[in-house]
Amino acid sequence: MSIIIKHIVEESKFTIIFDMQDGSISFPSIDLNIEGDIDLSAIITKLAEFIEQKKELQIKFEDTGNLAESNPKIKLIKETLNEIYNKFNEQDIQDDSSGRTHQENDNLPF
Amino acid sequence: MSLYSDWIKVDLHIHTDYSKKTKTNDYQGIFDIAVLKQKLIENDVKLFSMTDHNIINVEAYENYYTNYNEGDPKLLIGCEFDIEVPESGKTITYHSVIVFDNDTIDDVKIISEKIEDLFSSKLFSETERKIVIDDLYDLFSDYNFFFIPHAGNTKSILDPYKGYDMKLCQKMVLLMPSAFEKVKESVRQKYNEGFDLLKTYDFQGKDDVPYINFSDNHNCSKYPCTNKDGEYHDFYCIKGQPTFESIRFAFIDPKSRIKKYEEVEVLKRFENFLHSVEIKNNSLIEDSTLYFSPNLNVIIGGRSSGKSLLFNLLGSKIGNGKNQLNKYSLDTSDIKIRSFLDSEYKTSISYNLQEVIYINQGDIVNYFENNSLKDLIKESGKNEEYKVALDDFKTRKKELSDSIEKLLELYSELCDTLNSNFTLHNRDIESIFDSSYYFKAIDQVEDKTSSFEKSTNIVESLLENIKEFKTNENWNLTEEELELTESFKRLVESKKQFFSESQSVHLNKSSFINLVNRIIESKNATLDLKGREKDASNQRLHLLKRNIFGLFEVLIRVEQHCSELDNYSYNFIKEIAIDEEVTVVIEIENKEGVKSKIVEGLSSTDTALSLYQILIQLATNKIRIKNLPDNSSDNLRKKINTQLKSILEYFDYPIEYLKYSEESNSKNNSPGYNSEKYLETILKKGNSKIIFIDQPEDNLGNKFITENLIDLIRDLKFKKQIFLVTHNPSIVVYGDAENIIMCSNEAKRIEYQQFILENKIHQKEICSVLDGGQYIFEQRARKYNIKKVIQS
Repeated sequence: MSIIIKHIVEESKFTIIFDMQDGSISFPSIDLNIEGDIDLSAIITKLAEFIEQKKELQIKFEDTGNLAESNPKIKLIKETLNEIYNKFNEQDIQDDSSGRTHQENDNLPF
Repeated sequence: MSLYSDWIKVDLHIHTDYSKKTKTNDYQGIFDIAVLKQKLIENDVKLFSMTDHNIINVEAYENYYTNYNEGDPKLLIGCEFDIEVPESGKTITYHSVIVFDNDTIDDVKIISEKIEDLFSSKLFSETERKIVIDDLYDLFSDYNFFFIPHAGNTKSILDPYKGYDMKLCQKMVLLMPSAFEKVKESVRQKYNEGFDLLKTYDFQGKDDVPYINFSDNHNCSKYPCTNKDGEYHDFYCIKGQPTFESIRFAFIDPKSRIKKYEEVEVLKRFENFLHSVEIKNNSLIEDSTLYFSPNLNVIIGGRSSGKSLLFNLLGSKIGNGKNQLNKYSLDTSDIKIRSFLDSEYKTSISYNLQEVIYINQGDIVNYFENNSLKDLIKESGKNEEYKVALDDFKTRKKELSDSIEKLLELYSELCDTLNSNFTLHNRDIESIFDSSYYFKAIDQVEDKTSSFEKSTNIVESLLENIKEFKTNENWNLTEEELELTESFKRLVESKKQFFSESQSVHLNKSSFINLVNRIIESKNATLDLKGREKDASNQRLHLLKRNIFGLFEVLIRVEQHCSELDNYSYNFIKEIAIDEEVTVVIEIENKEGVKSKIVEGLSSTDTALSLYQILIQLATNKIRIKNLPDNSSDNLRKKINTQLKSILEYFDYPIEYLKYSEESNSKNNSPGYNSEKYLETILKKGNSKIIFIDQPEDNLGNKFITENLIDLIRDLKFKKQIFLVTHNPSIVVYGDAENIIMCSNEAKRIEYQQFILENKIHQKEICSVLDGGQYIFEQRARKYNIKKVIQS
């Protein structure tokens, strides 16, 4: 069973929602403000807490306005986050790698 | 003469030529009392009786008593009667030796006269003499005597009763002070089974009907031949002084007090037991020399009579570390001791630790209260196993300390990494998306330093070992094998060569990339400001990600280690088998969890949290370390060291207890039961030679003393030398102590005297200092349930 991390993408923020899928009360969602500097500390601390769950992260983005296509900053953030999640999943080796988000983000658009 | 009860040879059935008067052709040769005396002395017989058929050789008795010297064999008056059982309807008689508690010339004359008068009154000729049991009772109603009937093949007491009333015969024997003579070993058990049918359950199966054999010698010049010209007589011994009372004790307790001489010889062990202690010129103790039995020595006396003083004095003189003599502040330098092997008295004697069991008063209960059974382990010869167990616990303690240290190191690393800056600055994002350009650095090839190192070691050691393999002194290689070895060597060398080339290529590649990156770096430095900013921003993004990835690695290590500690239990157990039934368990009890002790040192911490979560919360300051200003790793170290101090100390003081079975151990049994098991276990240990116990009855149930301890002591005392201080008359009397040291304190002068059970004067004194002593003596004399026997 994986932990589903759902990102609702908006112009000014990413609302990040966690579903442990084990019947436990979900963590409060995190608002990642993307208007100025992007402080990743909250999401990193949250990931630190997940380490001992020994579960994979299943990543979902809900981007109804296709902002990641039109807004390069949002695209960069999304790709950076994906890169972090992938690394997390690599660290926390699971039996089954299905459901992982594998996106090649090394090639930045410049 | 020995001052304690020692074994003596007895022969209570010897004929003189008077037997020829009452039985035709009975005695062989010429009887001479001087010859018999000499033969008895030569054979070390200490107690005897001249028992002619239905007559007493008054002349021979008179001669012996007149010429009696101190140390000569003791002579008790006796006679062998032909006894008829008229109610059986049979005319046959059986023979029984009667031995009287009399040993004077006057008594001989009186007893002889009674016998002669009886037979005269019955108008029997000398050769027709016979008697019925009622006559015997009537004739000697004022006398103490033993009834020792033949119960073997000839003239057996069983013969007249066979087909008539065997029970009557058995009851008579049980009720009289009797022993059976001439019963073969092989049929004794059968006889005992018959007797058991008459006894109540509690008195059955004790093998306490006495059987004894005498020479029945009819030719003094061939003494100790049996009968007239029979085989060499196998002597029997009884324990004690050569007295009637010793025989009484022997017949009451044959298991402990009657043995064949050959068995006594086996009992004469060659162990270096304590022989005696010589007390001279002491400020507190009267001068005396106490001689010790190699069997059971008991020390008795009233309050403050010096019992424990003697106990500790002996402990001190044999160098036992547990003696408490120093509490008496007594100069004992003039008190000397001797073992059986010593030719003279010495200031002290040394025994090996395992040779002596030394238990002070109250020791056993203390062992359990303090959870320490070191003495039992040592005295059982298991010291080495004990050391190994303790060493193992030390190792476990070190492992826990190391694990805690590692946790603190990881916490320090966690604080540093988790509290890093994980911000992607907007300015960098803008710069990254700026239209200016820069040269992107080339990714470096994989760092293979450690891999290369490992491969180099393999190759080098293989080549070295091949060389050693070829020239090893413990085997030879055939030509074929040598060729194979050479081929392998060539293979390794070729791989070494290949590896060397690959290594070189890799290094060159790495070196080249470094060179290119330096060129890129230098070229980027020449770009315009925007270009250089873009380069720096990309590098910071890269660094941010590397930091996050590095954090994950730290977290994984922290989590793994915390998980180990979360599941850590220090319930370590080592078992040392003392014997087949009892094991000493050395245990470190997992009294408090490591995590819960840590949590106690933190403020408002959810105890359900894992140790990992706790560290994360500490590192992010969501919880605090109690009474310390911040959550630094140094402060956590201080707090954890304080909190875990008690747990680490448990490793230094493991609890020790006895395991009796999977379900039963000394932790779930009463102090009394544990004391009993402890005593039973330590006494049974085969390594010890000498046992000292000060008041073993303390904390022991009476049932255990009477049903277990006494049997144990009775068995052990023929294998080990035992010294007991006791108030319990059962231990002294039923334990059948060979040596009783009576302690007394008159006007602050301690006096020690040696008593024996079979001495009537001593018995009174023993009873006076032992509560219930009189009762126990009486009970011992009343071996069977007499009422039941009579009723049946």
